[in-house]
Amino acid sequence: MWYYSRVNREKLYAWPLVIGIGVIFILSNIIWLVPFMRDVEQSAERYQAEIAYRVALRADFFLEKKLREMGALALDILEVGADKKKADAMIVKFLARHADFVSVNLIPAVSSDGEYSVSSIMQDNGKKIIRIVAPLPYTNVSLNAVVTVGDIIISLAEERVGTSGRLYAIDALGNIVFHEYEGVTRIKSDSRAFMSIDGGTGTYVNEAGERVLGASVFAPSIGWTVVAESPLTEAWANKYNAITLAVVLMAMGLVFVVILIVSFKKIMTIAMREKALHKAKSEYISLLAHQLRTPLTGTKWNIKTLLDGDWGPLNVKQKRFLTRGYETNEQMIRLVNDLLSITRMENGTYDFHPIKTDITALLTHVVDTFRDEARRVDVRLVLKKPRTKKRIPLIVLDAEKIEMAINNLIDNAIRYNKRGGMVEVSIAREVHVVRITVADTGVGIPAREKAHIFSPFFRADNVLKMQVQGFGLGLHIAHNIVEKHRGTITFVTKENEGTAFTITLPLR
Amino acid sequence: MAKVVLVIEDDIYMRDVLVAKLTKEGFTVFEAIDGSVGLDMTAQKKPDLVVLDIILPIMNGFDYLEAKAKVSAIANIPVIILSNLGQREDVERGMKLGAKDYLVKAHFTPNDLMVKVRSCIG
Repeated sequence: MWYYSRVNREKLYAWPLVIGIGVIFILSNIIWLVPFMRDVEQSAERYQAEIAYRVALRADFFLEKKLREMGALALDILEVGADKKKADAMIVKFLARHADFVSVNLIPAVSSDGEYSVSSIMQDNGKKIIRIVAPLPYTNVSLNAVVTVGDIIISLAEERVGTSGRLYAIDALGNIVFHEYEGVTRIKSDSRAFMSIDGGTGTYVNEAGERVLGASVFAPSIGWTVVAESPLTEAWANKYNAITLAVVLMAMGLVFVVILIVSFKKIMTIAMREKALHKAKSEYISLLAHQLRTPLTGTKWNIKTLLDGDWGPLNVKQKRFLTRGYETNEQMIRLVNDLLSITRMENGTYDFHPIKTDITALLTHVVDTFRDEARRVDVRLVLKKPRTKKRIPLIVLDAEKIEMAINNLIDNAIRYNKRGGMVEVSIAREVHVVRITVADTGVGIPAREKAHIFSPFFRADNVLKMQVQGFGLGLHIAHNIVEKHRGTITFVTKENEGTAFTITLPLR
Repeated sequence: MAKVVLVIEDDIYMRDVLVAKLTKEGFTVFEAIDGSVGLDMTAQKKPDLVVLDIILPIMNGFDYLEAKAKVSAIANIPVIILSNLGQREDVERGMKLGAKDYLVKAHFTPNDLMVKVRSCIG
């Protein structure tokens, strides 16, 4: 049940998490995208406005040049005064020198402020013309010139606006000065709200039905409005690319997050399964221990009551054979305990519970439990504690497991000893470790078999010959326990003289 | 008057030797083969001590301890757990549920139990 509620909780959190992260991705992309798009738009507007400005400037230069030329003619005419014949001759010469002037004549002054005027675009025999009227100073006449603008228009229209943009100009009345589209004579003013005497930019649908960006500049001298127009797909290409990039990034980010969450869910599922399996293994081994020990315990307790004389005295032989039965049963119990320990170690269910422990007290307790046994087999058991008054500090270790390890060493030292032999257990503090030594005067380990001494179920040949009961698991278990405590277990031995096992455990 | 001990143990060999040993030692002994019968008998007989196994049919030893603690009339009756479940967490659980002691059967003898029983109820 706990497993399923955990999975459902994950389902509950998973989608809001995806949505939350998705929102973050979108917002983080918007943060750079929005100003970038604005920059692109402004950049396109500036680019087109610059082109329109250049063209407007050239148009004004054209007019100003014509005005200067007319000014020079005016001065010449003024010099001849009232002589009309001379004035006409000058005009003829002027027209011969200036091909784009169609005609020039003198007319009564039309402007009271002394300023020139320029007409809108007109057509004259298929040519586009403008009329320029410039007053002669200090007189009441004006020069009236008709100028063709065909060449200047062609020159202006050659300016390029991007790859597929276009340029056009209109006069004050909205008449087309020049336009790339043939047949377009007038521009819809309602869609050109941005065009003003101060210039401007705007987007609109042009006569070809395209959605475009237009930038307009007013040429004040000639009175034309020049517009540089470009399809939005070209003008804002970078903007669209950026949007595409942002969408791709967001999509990639979302895909990544979804993969992350799916992987996380899988990992969690595997981890939970492993945990459940670990728990099941642990419970299985506990039950196995119980089932194996139950008949052995029944036998042990029944025989012990007989040996204790609870049901009457026993004769010597009854006692002897019952004692053997009891001891054999005890061995089986020890074997079951050792097998269970090894099974737990191999399955990773051999849990360690380290706590601060007085290792000296622990060692003393273990040695005391062997005193009766040692006496029984005529082995002298000695415990040597540090001579210095300085106590060995508390060490963090699993007391139960370390006790088992030391227990196994002392048990072996007594069991594989000679009658009248000795087992010396000592403990000493060094700089970084505590050293526990169990030294015996037993049978030792043959040199050729030293390498296998910590292998499970290994028993040396000389020990097998002794016909002493054992299963070869004690040292394997001790070795495993000490290693788990980041300690070491080593030995020195000489066959027929004895063995000394040394455990070192780190002080920290 | 002899002290009364209730033995709750499903294994017949263990139960017989426990009952026999306790009787020999002068206790009045009752027996139950599962936790549920054990709980009923605890309520009926109100023993001075319960010797309790853990792995039991119908109601295990831990559940027995939890149920016993809820009945005020029998909550304070001392319990010695005698089980072959010997893992640290089992011992901790048993002591946490109010047992006075926890003995792993395979590691103790009948006389060891008697020492514990006498220290509990005299």
